[in-house]
Amino acid sequence: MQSNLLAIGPELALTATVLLVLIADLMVGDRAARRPLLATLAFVGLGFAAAHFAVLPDGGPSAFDGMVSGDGLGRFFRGLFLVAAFFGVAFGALSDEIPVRRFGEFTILLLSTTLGMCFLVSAQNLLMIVLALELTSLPSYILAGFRRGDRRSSEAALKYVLYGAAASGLMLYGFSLLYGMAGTLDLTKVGPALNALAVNGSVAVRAGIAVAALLAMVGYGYKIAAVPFHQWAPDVYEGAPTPVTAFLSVGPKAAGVAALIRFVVVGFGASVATPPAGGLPWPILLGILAMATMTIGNLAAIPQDNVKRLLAYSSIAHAGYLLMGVAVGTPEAIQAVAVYLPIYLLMNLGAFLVVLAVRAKTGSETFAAYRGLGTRSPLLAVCLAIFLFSLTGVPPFAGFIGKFYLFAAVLQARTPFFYVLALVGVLNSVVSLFYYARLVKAVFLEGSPAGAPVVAVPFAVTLLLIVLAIPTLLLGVWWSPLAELAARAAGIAG
Amino acid sequence: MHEAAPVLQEFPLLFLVPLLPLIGAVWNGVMGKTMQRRFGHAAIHLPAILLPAGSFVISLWAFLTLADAPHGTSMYNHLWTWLPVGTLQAEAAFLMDRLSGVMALVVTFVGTLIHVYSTGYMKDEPAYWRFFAYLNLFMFAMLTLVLGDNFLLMFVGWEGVGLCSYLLISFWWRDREKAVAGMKAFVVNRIGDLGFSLGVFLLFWGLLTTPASPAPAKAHGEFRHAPAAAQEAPEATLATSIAFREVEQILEDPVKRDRIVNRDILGVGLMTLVCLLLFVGATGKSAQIPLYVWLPDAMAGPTPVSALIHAATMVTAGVYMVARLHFLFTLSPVAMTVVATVGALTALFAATIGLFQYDIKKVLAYSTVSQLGFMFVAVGVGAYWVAIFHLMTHAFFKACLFLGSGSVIMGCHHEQDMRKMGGLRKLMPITAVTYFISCAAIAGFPFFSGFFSKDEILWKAFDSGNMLLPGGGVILWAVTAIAALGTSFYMFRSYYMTFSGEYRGAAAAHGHDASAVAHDPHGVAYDSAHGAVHGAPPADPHGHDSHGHHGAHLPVESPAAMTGVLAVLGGLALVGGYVGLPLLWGLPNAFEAWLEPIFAGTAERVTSAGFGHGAEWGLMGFSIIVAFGGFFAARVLYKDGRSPIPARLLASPSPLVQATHRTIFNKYYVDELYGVVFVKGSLVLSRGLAIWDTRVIDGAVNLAGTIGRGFGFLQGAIDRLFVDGMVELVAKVVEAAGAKIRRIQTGHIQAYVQGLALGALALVALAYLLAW
Amino acid sequence: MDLTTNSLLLTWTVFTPFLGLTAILALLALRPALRLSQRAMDEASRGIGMIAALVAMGLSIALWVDFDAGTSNLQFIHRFVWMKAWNIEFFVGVDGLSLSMVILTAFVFLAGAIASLPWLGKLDSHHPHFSGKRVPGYWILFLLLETGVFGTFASQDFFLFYVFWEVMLLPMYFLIGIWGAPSRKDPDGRTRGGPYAAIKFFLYTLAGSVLMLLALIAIYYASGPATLADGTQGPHTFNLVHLTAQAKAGVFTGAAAILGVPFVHLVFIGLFLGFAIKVPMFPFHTWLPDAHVDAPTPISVILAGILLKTGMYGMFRFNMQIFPTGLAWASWAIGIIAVINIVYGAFVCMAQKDLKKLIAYSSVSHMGFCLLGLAAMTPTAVSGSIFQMVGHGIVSPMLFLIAGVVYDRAHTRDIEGFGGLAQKMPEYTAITGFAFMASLGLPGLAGFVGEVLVFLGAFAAQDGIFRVLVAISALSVIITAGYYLWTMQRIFLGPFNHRWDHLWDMNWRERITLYPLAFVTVLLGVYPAPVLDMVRETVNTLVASLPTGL
Repeated sequence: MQSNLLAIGPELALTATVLLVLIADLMVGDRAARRPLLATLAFVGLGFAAAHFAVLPDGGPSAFDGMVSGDGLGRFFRGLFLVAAFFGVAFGALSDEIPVRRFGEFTILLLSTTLGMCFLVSAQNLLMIVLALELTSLPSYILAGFRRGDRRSSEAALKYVLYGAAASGLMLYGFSLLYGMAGTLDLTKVGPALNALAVNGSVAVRAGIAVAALLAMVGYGYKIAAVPFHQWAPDVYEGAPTPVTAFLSVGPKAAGVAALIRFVVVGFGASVATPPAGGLPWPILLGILAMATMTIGNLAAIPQDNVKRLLAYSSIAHAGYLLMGVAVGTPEAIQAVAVYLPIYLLMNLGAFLVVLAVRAKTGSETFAAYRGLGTRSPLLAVCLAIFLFSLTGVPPFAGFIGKFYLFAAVLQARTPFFYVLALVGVLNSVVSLFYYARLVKAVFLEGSPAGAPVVAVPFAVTLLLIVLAIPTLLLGVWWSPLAELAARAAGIAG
Repeated sequence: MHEAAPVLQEFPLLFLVPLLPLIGAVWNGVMGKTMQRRFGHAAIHLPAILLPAGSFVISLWAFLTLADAPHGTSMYNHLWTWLPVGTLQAEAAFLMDRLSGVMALVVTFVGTLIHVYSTGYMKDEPAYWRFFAYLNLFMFAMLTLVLGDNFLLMFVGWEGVGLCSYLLISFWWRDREKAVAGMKAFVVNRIGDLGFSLGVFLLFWGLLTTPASPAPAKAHGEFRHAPAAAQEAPEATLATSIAFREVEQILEDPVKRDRIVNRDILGVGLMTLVCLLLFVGATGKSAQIPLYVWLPDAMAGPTPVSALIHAATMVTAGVYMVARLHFLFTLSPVAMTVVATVGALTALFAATIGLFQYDIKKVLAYSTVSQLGFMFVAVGVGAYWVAIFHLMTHAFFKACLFLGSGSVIMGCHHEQDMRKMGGLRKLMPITAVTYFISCAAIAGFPFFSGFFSKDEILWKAFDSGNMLLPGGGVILWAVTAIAALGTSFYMFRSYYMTFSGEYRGAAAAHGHDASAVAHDPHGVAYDSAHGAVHGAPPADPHGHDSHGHHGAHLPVESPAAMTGVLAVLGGLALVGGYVGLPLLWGLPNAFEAWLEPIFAGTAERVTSAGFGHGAEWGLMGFSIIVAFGGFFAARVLYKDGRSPIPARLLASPSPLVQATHRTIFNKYYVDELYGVVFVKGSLVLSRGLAIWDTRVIDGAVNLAGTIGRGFGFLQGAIDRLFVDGMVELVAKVVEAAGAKIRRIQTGHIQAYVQGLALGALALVALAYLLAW
Repeated sequence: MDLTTNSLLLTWTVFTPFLGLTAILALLALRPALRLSQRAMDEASRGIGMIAALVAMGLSIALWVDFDAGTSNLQFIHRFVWMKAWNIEFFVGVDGLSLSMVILTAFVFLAGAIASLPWLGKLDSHHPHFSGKRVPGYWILFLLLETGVFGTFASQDFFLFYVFWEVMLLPMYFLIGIWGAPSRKDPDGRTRGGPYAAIKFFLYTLAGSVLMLLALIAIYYASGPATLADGTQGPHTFNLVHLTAQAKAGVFTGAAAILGVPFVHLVFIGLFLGFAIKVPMFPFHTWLPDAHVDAPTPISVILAGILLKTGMYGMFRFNMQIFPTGLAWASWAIGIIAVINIVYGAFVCMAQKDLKKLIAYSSVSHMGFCLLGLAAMTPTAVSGSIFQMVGHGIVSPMLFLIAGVVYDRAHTRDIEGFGGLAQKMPEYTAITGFAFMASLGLPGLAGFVGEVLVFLGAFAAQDGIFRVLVAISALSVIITAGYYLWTMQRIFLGPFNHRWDHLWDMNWRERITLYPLAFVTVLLGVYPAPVLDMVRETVNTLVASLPTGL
């Protein structure tokens, strides 16, 4: 039992932090030090949660009768979520979109989401997955509508809620079908049971399995904003406060990807290397989703004039790249996804941090606010360029390494479909350059509009920028530690 | 074969022959402007003359050494390996054998003289230094062409002289006409150069891929890759050298020769193709049909340039090249016939145009084209030494004629229209005498230099047994004989129009534009352009303030620097032929004897038609009649400008006469034809391709971008409108149902959820499809 | 071949510019502390940039001095394991081909660096010179670009090569976009100018390089085990020497076909397209005129002088060295495209009215010779091709500098708008005439050697089609002469256009850049042996691996 509790040690720590912040929030009142105080408390809590990984045994046991896995995948992603949460809180503390008075509330919701994400990634039980998903979603609905007075924000929240509710519903329905057919909620047993069923079953049974699995997919697709379940994303990302958008675009997305891996790869054992699981050609199915997601995401990003919306579409496209890895499903591919996500976290958060800083000064998120930023705020501009080119995936930035791992995994599949997928993937990189470079062009190659303010960057923002930018550069030339961590994460699939 | 193998005797100073003028060119090119300003003209022309003169001295030294050496010896000077790559070893080396020795002497001698002459002719030129720099550069290029030891080095000189020709024709670049003339010369020459280089490539390839010994297992036409072959059997191919002497040596071996001669490429003999391509180069450089068009325009350059480059030396490079490569040309009777035929046709064609020209330099230009045609007849029939002989005598008399015309032009204040000259014999006696001697020489008056060389050409053509034409060489003879008659006529026509009678310059001044514009646009453009833009001091020979000056002073004889040169060249035009007296007369022919060893290797394949001495005597007599016939006709018609016949003839209303005259006067409209077909053609093509490039190829790229952007826009719009459209639909349905439910914000959401459901459905459908 | 580290000289050469840019960055960071004025910062950046370019030049000459031309083995090897997981090594070394390009790089960048200076002569006070704009940034990117190019030529590990290859992209994008011509509308209402050209360049080259990336990964997975620098064995390799040896052993010809296409062919195409865009090869050339026209002079110089060569270099290093059978398979097709490049480029040149655009298209034409030499696959043609790379690398910078000279003064490059400039700018006229002559392949100058060797070599190619191709492409010598002389005529000759009374002749900065280039042009024209000797063994080794006797 003790080991069980240790397995969810970080989650316990997080829960404690949530409660502590709640209490502190009520206690500190409207003081100037409110923000730093609460933020520090959250950081300490996150640090404490992260510290658990030092004592958690590698590839630890599953807790609670296998409901929560203690494997490398979960371990890796939980760590990642804590990092995302750290930046989320930090962004919130720096943003004027989060009023001081409600900063505690923000932190609590954000940490709760993180808690849900942590459970989601280690959940190995269908019911547990649904619970974790809801825990992830509910606070994020509120976060999306955090700017109460703002119509866009409220509308975004409402859309998010309803879309999420429907998606969860379909997913739950799918799960219940799966349970009905497999007779178990344990994900590790669902897959084999269904496989056995599919081999011997009639067409109707196989169709049933397919429908069930696909309905479940809807939930995951919604979480990672994959086409065709992406339509909520641009509106929500645009409408939500920037720190929330930043967090949503990396945290829950990563959680969704990780959970999808657990569902498809761990649960069904699907990968290019194995025969179709549960009667479904998962690799090709996911591959098509990947293609559609990245292509539509990238193309739709091209004409955007709002940088936040542009980044929203860009994050849809990145979900497409990640899906490529899930589609392949081999340990190498899982490793590739695990390499990609932290890098994506760095560069995407970095880009949003710049958006946040620019918005803080100009109150605008459109291209016009970015024109001539290169002269008005060189540091911000250079960092933005680094993040954007990294998102494009050109060396020597970290984004390239992520893509390199992904494409290598895809090509290693050695089937015609995956060769085409790889080609579509690299061509999408070229397309993405088009809009990233458009922003870079506005920043560096176009003159400032008359009267545009000099964007003075607060010290804390500078610090965070550098914290994000330096690994974005360094991981491009030295990524061994990350690759090793990711390999350990992928150990589950081996 | 009958000689000992060629011996190369090191002559370490040979490189100085081309190098000295190069030094002059670089010195004057870089320092000239300063030197001229500080120290005057002498500082320019002293080095510019002395350095080529030094070349002459060294050439002479080498020549005399050569004369002392046994037959088959060549003076050789290896400098460095120029292109050491793969199977190719092109040396930077100079070689003087008996042939290049003669050429080098002619070039350095005439060249130096013309440098001297130029000090007088160009004395008022502000860019004096530039002129001499170019001239020296030309000397360098020409001597490289002559003395180069291999094809590539010859090509360096070959293109180099083209460049200098361009620079010197466009020397007065402020005049657009002249600049364009230079450009035309260069581009037309490049067409020839293209042929030349392709010929060299083909030859090199042929030598490289023809097995020297029977290849046992290989099928015909299949050749191993060069390096591999070289590794397996070092002597597998005929040659990997592009040095003249080595190629010649190889072809002296009958077995190897037959191997390459028997090779066909695209149904044409390899050697024929090689020779024809090389000959295309010759037609470019030596202004033969069809590439002669640049030479008349090249007269836009200063007159010494016309004399040096466009009469005495550069234009003969084609002849020299064919003679140099006699060992190739004699292997292809077809090529020989083509060379001779083109030569003969050019000789006649240019001579007819020469009949009607009024610009004294144009007359000489067409005469040059015509004379070069004679030389090609000679090389074409295998009489190489005769071609070189005529080349040499032509260098003397044609240089003299051009320099004489320069003297006249300078005297007449840059008037080139012979109709405004006349009576200059009294005013410019030395010029007149030398001009007359040279006319006699070119016309072929007995005992003048041209007589010996031209008569020999006619005889060799007549007697040739190699020609594949109907009638053999006789037809060539007939054509060239008519050309010779024309030559005699138009040369004396020019003499009489210029020198006899009364000076017409003053009278013509008033009607200048009226009479000249129609027929001689060049002259007018020249005058007006210079008057307008040159802005030089009044004494400047190339710009004069107004036409009123014409009448103000009569022409005077040119300075000594010019007349001295004219005297020397006139003397040579008179006596220069005595080195090659006809064997028929029983006199020693030193020139033929000198060159005999060079061409000995091919002598056996150059056959005679078998006409005897009687025929030769007869032809000689006929030649004399032709020469005098032309002379008398010109004298009757043009002496003192009194005869009314030419004017009456030209005024004849007969359409035949008019049309013929107009056609010939306008040079058969060949320039216009080329202008439309090639110049306009390539301009139109280039514009079309440029538009294609921006509109279609680049357009495709931009279109792809636009489509991508459009698609993206559409996608973004769908993301918005899909939802809103659904909302509208739902709202309408609801309203139609009569329910008074206000559309609230959730209306959007219903649509979203519908989208979600649709997406799921699509996914199921997709999976279903994939499951099959 | 011994592949142990034996010299750090090459690594120093590669990273000297990088050190320079680090120094500028450090200075920028310390600027508040040091209280440097804007002007002082600018001057310091220029100084550091110049020093870095000079030191790199010196180091590359040191490489040349120590180079042993008698072998095709790699020299100045520096090698260690970079990323164990992927068997990626940091592996630099040069053979003759690489070294010739490294030296050219140093030389062209030095010329570019000098051309980036604003001083040393009269300047137009009415029009701000690009070199006064955001100076530290310019030099940082300039030096980054130099390191990228050096690295590209020195890398002997495919992954490392790819990283350096891409490193060249970003600085180029900014250098063209920020310091190039401002955005404008062309007569048809389309947007043109630096930003447009920069993004076009970037997109085009990235499209090529992502294909290369796929090929790179495919090659990696198809490769066999090889020993790493630390002595351990890896299952696959990026090491070019090992890849070449494995290719020779038939590892790739035996690899499974992809999408029904033989592995070698598909990978060959992927690599080739990536490089072809950079060359640029018809029909992927349209980025070049735009990029050239709107780039600032020194960047045009670098672009034409050296960046185009990276494409050709890649073809030699990868398509020829690793996939000789692929090259043999594609040779005639490459030959045909090469001829299109040559002739088409020349024709399009003739119709240009913008001097820089004309020169840009002439690069398209001249790089066609390199392609033709590659396709012909004979030692002479390959040597000619490499020599043409060097020759064009010297001559085209001259041409762009020349275009810059007149543009700096007249602020137009419209050929038709000039006339008679020889009167006002005689020295400039002379050097322009010289450069044109060099470019049109006048014998005795560098341009000729490459052309004639390519022609001679291609003529002797096994495949008879090459004789036809040579004959067609030789037509370009006429067209080239035509457009250069016509340009000469329109700009410099004829009556003087008094609109240009205010122009002045060359200044010292221009002389310092142009005369050394002119000198080298002559030197290589009359004595090309240093380059030919340097590459001979490399060429022999390359050609020896090609299949013979088809």
